[in-house]
Amino acid sequence: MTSTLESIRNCFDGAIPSAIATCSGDGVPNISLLSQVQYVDPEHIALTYQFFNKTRSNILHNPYATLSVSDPHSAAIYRLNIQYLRTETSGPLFEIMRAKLAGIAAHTGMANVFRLLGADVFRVLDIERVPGPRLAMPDNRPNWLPALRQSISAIASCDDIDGLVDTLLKALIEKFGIQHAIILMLDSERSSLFTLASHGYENAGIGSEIPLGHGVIGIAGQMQVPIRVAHMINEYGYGKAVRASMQQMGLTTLLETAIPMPGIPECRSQMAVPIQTKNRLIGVLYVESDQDCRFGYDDEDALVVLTEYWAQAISQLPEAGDNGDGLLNLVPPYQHKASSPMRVRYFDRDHSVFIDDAYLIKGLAGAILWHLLKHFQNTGRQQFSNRELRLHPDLKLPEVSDNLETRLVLLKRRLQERRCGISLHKAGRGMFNLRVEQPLSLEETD
Amino acid sequence: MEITKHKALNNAAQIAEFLRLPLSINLVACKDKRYPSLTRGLACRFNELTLELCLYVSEISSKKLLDDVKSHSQLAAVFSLPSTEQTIQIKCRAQEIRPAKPDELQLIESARQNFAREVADFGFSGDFIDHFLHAEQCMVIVTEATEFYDQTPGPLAGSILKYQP
Repeated sequence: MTSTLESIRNCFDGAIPSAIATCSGDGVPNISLLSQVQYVDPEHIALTYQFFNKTRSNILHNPYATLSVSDPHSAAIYRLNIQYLRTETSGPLFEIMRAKLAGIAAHTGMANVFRLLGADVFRVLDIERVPGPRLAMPDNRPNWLPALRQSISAIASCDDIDGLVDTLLKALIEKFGIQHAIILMLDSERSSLFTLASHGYENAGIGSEIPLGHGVIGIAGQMQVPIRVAHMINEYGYGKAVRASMQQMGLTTLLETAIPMPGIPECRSQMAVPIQTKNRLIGVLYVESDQDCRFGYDDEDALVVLTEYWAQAISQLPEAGDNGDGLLNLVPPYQHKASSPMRVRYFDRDHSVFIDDAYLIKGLAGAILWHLLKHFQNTGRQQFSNRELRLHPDLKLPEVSDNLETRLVLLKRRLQERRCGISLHKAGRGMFNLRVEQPLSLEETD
Repeated sequence: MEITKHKALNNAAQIAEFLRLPLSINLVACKDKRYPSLTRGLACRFNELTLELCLYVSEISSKKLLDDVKSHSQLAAVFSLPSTEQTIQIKCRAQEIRPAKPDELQLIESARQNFAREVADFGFSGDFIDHFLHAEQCMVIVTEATEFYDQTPGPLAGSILKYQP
């Protein structure tokens, strides 16, 4: 091969339609234009199968075809000799291509016309660069290696989840120029992802949830594959659809317990990258932009590496709190700033917490907050250790060790966002302080 | 949502009118059935009375296709208007391959300029199109159109057009 598939991946995103040439059993040539060519690995590509047309009929009889792709920057044209191998109708590759097709369909006003029936996988046997002049590649193509090196170095110096979250967001903004990003973590018990932190949104949406398998984010999480969509899409928008699907799945019993997901008004490019270590999903990183084709294959590669390293850093954090008990009760009693009581209601069925009738949080984070507030109310205690929470039988913490720390960070950030007069503050390794600015009125309901 | 208006293609005159638009053109031929040869067309000219369809290509980038056509006269060409994505495919039979004449070189140059204007809104510069549709040792494949197909993206792609010779 004179060129490699990796080196021509930016020909595949549809900026210039590709063409596939096939030949029938009786030697009649046929040609079709393609909106999408999917890079699979260094030897394979996949094409969308949307309708049973002449191209499909031909490749089923004669698997050899020729594909023409064009570089939207250099104007170089490449011809690929390809061989049809199989059609995938489910699984990660199918879902990636379905999400991309939905984006292309919406972009071309054909959202109701395009439907993916399968992902046709081809082996690439040869790549020929078509003779002719080409433009010099623009100098502004990003080289993500220095950005990755600096980001990984910053992540390596973090010693808690809070720091890791802030460092990842800072790296995305400062090193990768990404203006809108959401870090979601897996709630394996609820088969959903919850927003732990975000950047670039009017509403941070801390605690908002999306079920696995729904939208670009949920599918990337469920399939554990990155999904990158170059154009604006509706089908995979997560806004309104999420509430409906979560209700349908019984993930929320009260509509008002849904925190809106953050989002930009007109998303034109998006990418969801699973955060995983040793093939275990721990969350999803979502980035979006109001520009078409903002994220390319190189961006995808860089964020996959970055999130894998970040996931490893989380999994290698030492369990905090083993030396914390001796510090208990050293915090001076807090003086309430206001005297009117704050009404806090707790619903045991989904561990949701409401403050003065406004929804705050639910799930494990809600159960933890209720546990802290009850202790505070009964004993005046303000300082707690991660260890005692981890061992407390009422909380029934899942076995995975990062669940507690992640939920504490979620709770801390959600309380910060709501500014409701309750806050959590780090107080040394494995310790934190609860601060309550008003007297409490606690109510527990089934 | 804005509805894209496609040209009616119910007779040879309407097809000829469509083929005068600034189109993206791709050609395919097939000699040994294994790998079809594929090249980008630079321009076209269609005579609606005789159904003669002239397809212009750069020799340097189309050697295999020209070889295939010399030994197996069947070829197909797809024409697409970028702004509407209206697309047709024409099956044809080659009758002659020869170098383009001076007036045909002018046609090719004019087609390139029109195409550059057509795709300017998509962010492609004139310089880009000059490279993309580089015309060197231009050849013309003189063919007779035999079948016309609608290939606009959607469920009707591949259906035969009402008008047939």
